[in-house]
Amino acid sequence: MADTRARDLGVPGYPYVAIPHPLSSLTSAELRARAEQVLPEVLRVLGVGEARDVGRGWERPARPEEEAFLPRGDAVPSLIEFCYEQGWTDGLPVVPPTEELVQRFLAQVQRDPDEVVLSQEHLGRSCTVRLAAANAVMAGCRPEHFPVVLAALEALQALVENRAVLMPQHGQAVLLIVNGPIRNRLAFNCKDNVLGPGDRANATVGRAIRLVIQNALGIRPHVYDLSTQGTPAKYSFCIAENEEESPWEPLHVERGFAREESTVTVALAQSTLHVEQRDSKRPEHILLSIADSMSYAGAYFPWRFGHGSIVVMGPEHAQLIAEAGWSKHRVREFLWEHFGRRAGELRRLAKAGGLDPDLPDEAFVRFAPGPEAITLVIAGARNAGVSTVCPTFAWQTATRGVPEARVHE
Amino acid sequence: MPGLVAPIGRVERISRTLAPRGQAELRGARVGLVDSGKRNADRFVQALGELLRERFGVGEVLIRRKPNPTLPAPREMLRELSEACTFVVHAVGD
Repeated sequence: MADTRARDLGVPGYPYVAIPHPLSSLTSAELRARAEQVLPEVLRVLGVGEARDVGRGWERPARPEEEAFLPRGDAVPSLIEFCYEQGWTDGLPVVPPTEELVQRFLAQVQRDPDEVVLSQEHLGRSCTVRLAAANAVMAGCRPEHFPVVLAALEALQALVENRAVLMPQHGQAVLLIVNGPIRNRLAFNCKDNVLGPGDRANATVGRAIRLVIQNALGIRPHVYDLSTQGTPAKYSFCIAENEEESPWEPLHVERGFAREESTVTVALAQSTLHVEQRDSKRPEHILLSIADSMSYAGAYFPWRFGHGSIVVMGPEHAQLIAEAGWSKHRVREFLWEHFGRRAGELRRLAKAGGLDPDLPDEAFVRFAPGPEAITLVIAGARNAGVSTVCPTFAWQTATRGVPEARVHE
Repeated sequence: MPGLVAPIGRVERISRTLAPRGQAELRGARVGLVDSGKRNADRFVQALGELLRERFGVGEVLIRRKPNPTLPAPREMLRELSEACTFVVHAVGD
């Protein structure tokens, strides 16, 4: 990553020192030993002491990013192979982004193809409308999906502005939540298997976002994307809300849009965690099971920034809770109140780093700064008491309207 | 079959040059250390600063913490350090 960044910034061979992991769990004495270990390297890159050699032996020439030669007249299978060779795919085959297909996508929106819709200033890279179209083609989208992709990218821009949250080790994925009439018109799945495969709109629109991140922003695996383990949700992570079976107002109405408007909401999520609770109809039992899952021991507890969570509640859970007279607001309040762990448990897990040492063991530590850090969306089939929680540390979300698009026959 | 549209973004390249090396001595020098902001990074750079002072007679050590571990240090921070120090080591969160 450091070599790529140095090359991108125009200083190939920039001297640096890599400090061996881990660092965050070391004692003061161990930290000093680690500093001692890397000291000669630090002196080397500063060009002082015994070793004045500062070069890192940069040998590999920079590959031209703007590929001048593109094949013409080749058969589709070889074009797919060509896309693999260029490193443009997510590991799965892509639809070759032919000029003709890209033009059909661009015809869906009244936008300047060179307009920037998403950028990462610290990488010096950005995504234009045209690049977004090329990646949406590759993801397998239909032209009428393109306005949803563009709206999602604009929402993502609001989320990642001046932050590097698209490339942490946590390996989080970009989650899209589609609301409004466009769900049904473009056949976004909001019911059974909503988090699984099978529906083109969900699969390809979600995939388009990842391909944009990889190709347009250059945040590729093994280069700028060095997640410790990643998540399968990075291939594609797009759901629609089951507004028809939700007892409460949909997410976009909660955010100030009209029910008849179509929107896409963008969030960052590290994984999906299945929550079973078929043994009780009581709201408290259902919500305590969900809150406990939100607070699992393996979660990241970012004290400095506040924690958050996305709850994809199954319609059965939502209806049982609503029948007992609970509003959506009350549900989020309750989840927030129980989203956390006791100080003693955090100490037992060695996850109390930022905690006040005087806090008694029995004190409950809330993870989220407030109910607003919990996004609640209703999706899935009404056939079992199952919900899903999606942990996230960058809990902010952004919602954008989707302009109407023509449907191609 | 038409040609393909390259889906990859261009890097806005800015010409940069490395600071000259090998022209200054550590003894008595003022050294700037940028803490990445990750947990323990502050204690690590502090230990590094102590070692530089003890072993190489470095003068003053200026330590600054980046507000965001992954992003580069703000320009003002870098300007302050580069004007005040002979050597600057900048840390990037992993």
